[in-house]
Amino acid sequence: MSNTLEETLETAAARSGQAAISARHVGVTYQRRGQVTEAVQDTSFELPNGSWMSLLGPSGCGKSTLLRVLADIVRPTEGAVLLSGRTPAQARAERAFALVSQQAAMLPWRRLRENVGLGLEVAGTDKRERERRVEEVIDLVGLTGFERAYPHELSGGMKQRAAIARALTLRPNLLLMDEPFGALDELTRERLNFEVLRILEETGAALVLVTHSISEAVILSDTVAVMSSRPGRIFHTETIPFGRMRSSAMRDDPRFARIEGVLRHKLMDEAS
Amino acid sequence: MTASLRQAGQFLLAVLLVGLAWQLVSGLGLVKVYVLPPPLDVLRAFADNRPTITHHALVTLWTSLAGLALGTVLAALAALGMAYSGLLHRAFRPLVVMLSACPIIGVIPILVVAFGDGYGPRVAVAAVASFIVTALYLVNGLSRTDALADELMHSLNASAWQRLRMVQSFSAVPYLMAALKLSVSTCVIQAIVAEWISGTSGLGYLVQFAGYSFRIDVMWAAVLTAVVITLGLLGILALVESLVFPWAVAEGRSL
Ligand SMILES: Nc1ncnc2c1ncn2[C@@H]1O[C@H](COP(=O)(O)OP(=O)(O)O)[C@@H](O)[C@H]1O
Ligand SMILES: [Mg+2]
Repeated sequence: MSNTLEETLETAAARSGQAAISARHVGVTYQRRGQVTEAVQDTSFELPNGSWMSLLGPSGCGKSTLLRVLADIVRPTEGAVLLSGRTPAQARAERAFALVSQQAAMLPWRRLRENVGLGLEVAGTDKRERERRVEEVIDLVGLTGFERAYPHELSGGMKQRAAIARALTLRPNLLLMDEPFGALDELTRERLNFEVLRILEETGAALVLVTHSISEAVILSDTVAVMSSRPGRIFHTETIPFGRMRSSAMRDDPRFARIEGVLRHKLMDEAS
Repeated sequence: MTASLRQAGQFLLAVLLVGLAWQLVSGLGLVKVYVLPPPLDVLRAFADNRPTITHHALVTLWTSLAGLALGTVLAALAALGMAYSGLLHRAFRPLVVMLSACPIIGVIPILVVAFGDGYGPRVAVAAVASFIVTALYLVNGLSRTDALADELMHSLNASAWQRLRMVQSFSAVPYLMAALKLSVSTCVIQAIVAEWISGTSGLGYLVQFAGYSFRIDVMWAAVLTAVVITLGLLGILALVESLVFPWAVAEGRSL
């Protein structure tokens, strides 16, 4: 008996010691109708538990592809990734991560609250708990009052917020987001940035965010990984020194502008 | 609302114009009255024979609806099987296509010999007609889901049953509605033809009987009644669609 308990504790300790993400020499080559595209090349990185990372890079450089490898949608043709020591497929089966994809996928036949509750419904969460959490996150993303609306009655930004809400209901250890704030206006965008950070802080979840906004990357990350144009590989990693004290006041910190400048130059060099 | 009112107005205007043209053509003797009696005569025939026409119209209506229901249910089962098993799909889809090329009408006399001249053979003929259309449409509807929705369900780790229940059954709805809209008119026509060939009641029988008795006005009244039945059923379908599946109409998913 005591043995089992010890083992359990050891496994837990080992797990918690494991990085949220550990990517080793990941490469992805697409083959479609004879056309071969090398999207991601020899990419390795490690994301500590509860840590936040952004992927920044020119469009078409393989950011989404890399994220989809983590989310078990694309299988890497080379290398491997582990999410807290598990393969992406295992992590998906355990619902250890939640994905917000580039286009907000809403089921047209479901009202907003049913779309937001979809993840919990699939996971078999009981109805009352589901309704409670759905109401909570809908309030959080500022969609209260639209619970009964169908997707065709919502703007692009509202659908995007609903997709974020759906991911948040699952309280994942790892949140994977692909340009989730792209369709939003500047103010909503910044408000949601900080809301997401607050939730991540509360739950201790790790984040991988694909974005092409430099300031968003700085606000939302502990590390920003800059990718080269296709085939994408991480050629620069910038550490963001702001710890967990994040607010819009960050922008006034001289370090913010300096880091933004560094990242802008890296990106521009890459684009030319 | 105003748009649909205007549409209804334009439709009524078209009906009036056609009626007027018809009245002129047969009233001026351009077409023999015994081929095409003027519309007012047809309306009068309708009024004079209302109980008879209503009786036969109801027979046709129930025959078509029974055929439609039976065909649709069988088609749904067949489509589910074909959507889930590649083997069933390869084996049976060509058979359904062959069935669609088959002049079922020609078989009616044999069906009548086998099953009598009751409703059975007529319902069967109507059912086959709707089965063909609906099975072919639904197979497509069940297998053509949105890639984005597939990916969403995949990342939520949904089971095959959850996908069927939460995604595929809904993405098949527009296909089902389109199939039903096509089926309605074919079902009514097939039922009428079956009645014409073998029936002892129904609009098809009435058309034939009126023709033999040179009551051309009654014949045309029966034909118009069939048109009204089909249009009525189509209207009910559109109403049901907008009430039960508003998203399908709004997304332009209504085929
Ligand atoms: N499913 C796919 N099949 C073939 N090529 C793809 C596929 N998905 C993406 N690509 C190609 O891979 C490259 C990287 O795409 P993506 O990862 O979407 O880039 P990003 O998100 O950085 O804009 C692009 O050239 C794109 O055309
Ligand atoms: Mg992308």
